Amino acid sequence: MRDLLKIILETQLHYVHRAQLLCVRKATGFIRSIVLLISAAGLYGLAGNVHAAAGDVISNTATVDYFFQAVPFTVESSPTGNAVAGIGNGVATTFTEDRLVNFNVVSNDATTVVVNSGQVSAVLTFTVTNVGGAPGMGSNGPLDFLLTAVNTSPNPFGGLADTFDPNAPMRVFVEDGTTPGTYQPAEDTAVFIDELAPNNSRTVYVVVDIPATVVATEISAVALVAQVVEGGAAGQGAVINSDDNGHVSPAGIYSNGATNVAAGVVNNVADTAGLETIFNDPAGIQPEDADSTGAVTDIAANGQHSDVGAFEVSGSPVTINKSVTVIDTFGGTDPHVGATLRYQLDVIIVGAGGVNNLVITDPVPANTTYTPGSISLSGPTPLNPVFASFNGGLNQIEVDLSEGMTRTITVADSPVTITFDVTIN
Amino acid sequence: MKNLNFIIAMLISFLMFSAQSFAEEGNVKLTNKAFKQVIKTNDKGEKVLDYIDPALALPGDVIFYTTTFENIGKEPATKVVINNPIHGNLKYRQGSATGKDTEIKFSIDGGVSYDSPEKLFVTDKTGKKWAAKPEDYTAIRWIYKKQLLPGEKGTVSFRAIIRKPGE
Repeated sequence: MRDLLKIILETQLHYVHRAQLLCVRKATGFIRSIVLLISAAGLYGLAGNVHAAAGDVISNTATVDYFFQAVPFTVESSPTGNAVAGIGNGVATTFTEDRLVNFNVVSNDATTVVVNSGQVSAVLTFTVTNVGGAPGMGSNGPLDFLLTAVNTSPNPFGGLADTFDPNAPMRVFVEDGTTPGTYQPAEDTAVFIDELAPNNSRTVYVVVDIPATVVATEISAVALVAQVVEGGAAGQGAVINSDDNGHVSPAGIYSNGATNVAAGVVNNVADTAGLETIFNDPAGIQPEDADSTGAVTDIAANGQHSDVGAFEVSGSPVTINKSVTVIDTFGGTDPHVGATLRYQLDVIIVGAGGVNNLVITDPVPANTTYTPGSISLSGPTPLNPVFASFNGGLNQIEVDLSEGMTRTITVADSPVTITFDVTIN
Repeated sequence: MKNLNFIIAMLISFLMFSAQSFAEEGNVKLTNKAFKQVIKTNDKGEKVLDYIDPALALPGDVIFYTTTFENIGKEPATKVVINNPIHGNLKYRQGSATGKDTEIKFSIDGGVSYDSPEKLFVTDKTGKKWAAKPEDYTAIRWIYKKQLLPGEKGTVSFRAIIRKPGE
């Protein structure tokens, strides 16, 4: 009886343990590996997770296989220690991969975009990139971005000063990819960037109307500001206007006026097992944030980045209007031999810049003779008459307003009025 | 005879019941912890390694896993083998697996099979075989060469780096 009991005992033990191991030793190798794969699937992942991303829970459970009194056991791990044998009795060791945010905005225009006074839908082009490259420095997940255009100064290309703002409201649209390379009003209608993966970029257009009152050479500097928003699902996510490292974003109005974002509030809560966000964006080039009061600057790690482009109104800064008056020897206006013709040149300067080396020349007309000493100069500012002369060899009037390349003529000197007389031969 | 059959049937159910509860209590306790490895400066101004809670974990961070196995029973445990998977967001740091008195092998097929590094090959889409790199490993196995006597414990560990997107 005792032997029978012993056999029954041993048989029962073997049956139960083998079942718990989920590994039938007498099965074929193929079936065994399928079973192992199924049980392991919950524990093991594939190498090289190309979607390694913020918010992922990094989880693993170790196992120990051993024999005790010639009977096999499997025990899963737990973070505090598990001794209950059998698959499914352990607790995974987990932590969450946190979110790093790094992105930039870059102007596509190498110089000013030339426009005409009164032009509608003038365009500046920018590229917004979700930077994913450097380990621990780049973003580790897809992001959305809110966008807005902001008036700024100075002229990012140097030279002529920023003198006007486009008409309000300025608009911002995202290139939709149908006709890349140019702004298409019917196609490029999205007002925010949706689901930009790390190491990817989108083209963004700032579209403005130029006032009709501006004149040649005037400049308007305009910045595009991008504000980081949660990605991971289609449609605009929640704005991330503060991170878990004490950084905040300034307030702003985005999406062509549709989205108002308050300034972020500092959050210095200690890091948890859940998802934290860290801003790692660089400082922007343009000195004004979406708040645009001039008091806030696009500092590093504020969840925003920006860059500047500029419009330039085309046309020459110098215009010359010429008129003539006949002075009749008999006191009338009859142009007969001996009559005097008085020519007047009005030299008009426009724009914010200055004109260098400005020399006006005017040939004496055929069949007339210059009246010596008749040149006169006048204008709102003092002009040196030494530099206004008649060149007998070339038979022309020469007025060197640069005064020997020492003077820049600006709108303050405008208009310069030059008069001279000739007599009809 | 009927009585005996009944007694045997009862005995079998009883044994199954007790065998079931007996089987659930192993003799080895297994603990698996994850830490973030950081560098800090000690009082002497030297740079030393420190291990902290991985509450803030970003790509490029080094995660240190330590697994402790302890015999809490009254009999020795034999043929002790520890397996630890490497999560897909992590890449194994070459040479970092350690364990006193263990033989260490790696898996590149999700824990189905293990072998020593020089015997691991991956096949690419063209059919060409390449020696597996540490970032291809998906699990680590430590084969404990000794018996684990009652009250004894051992520790094995490894390091892995959080991958950046696309790695």
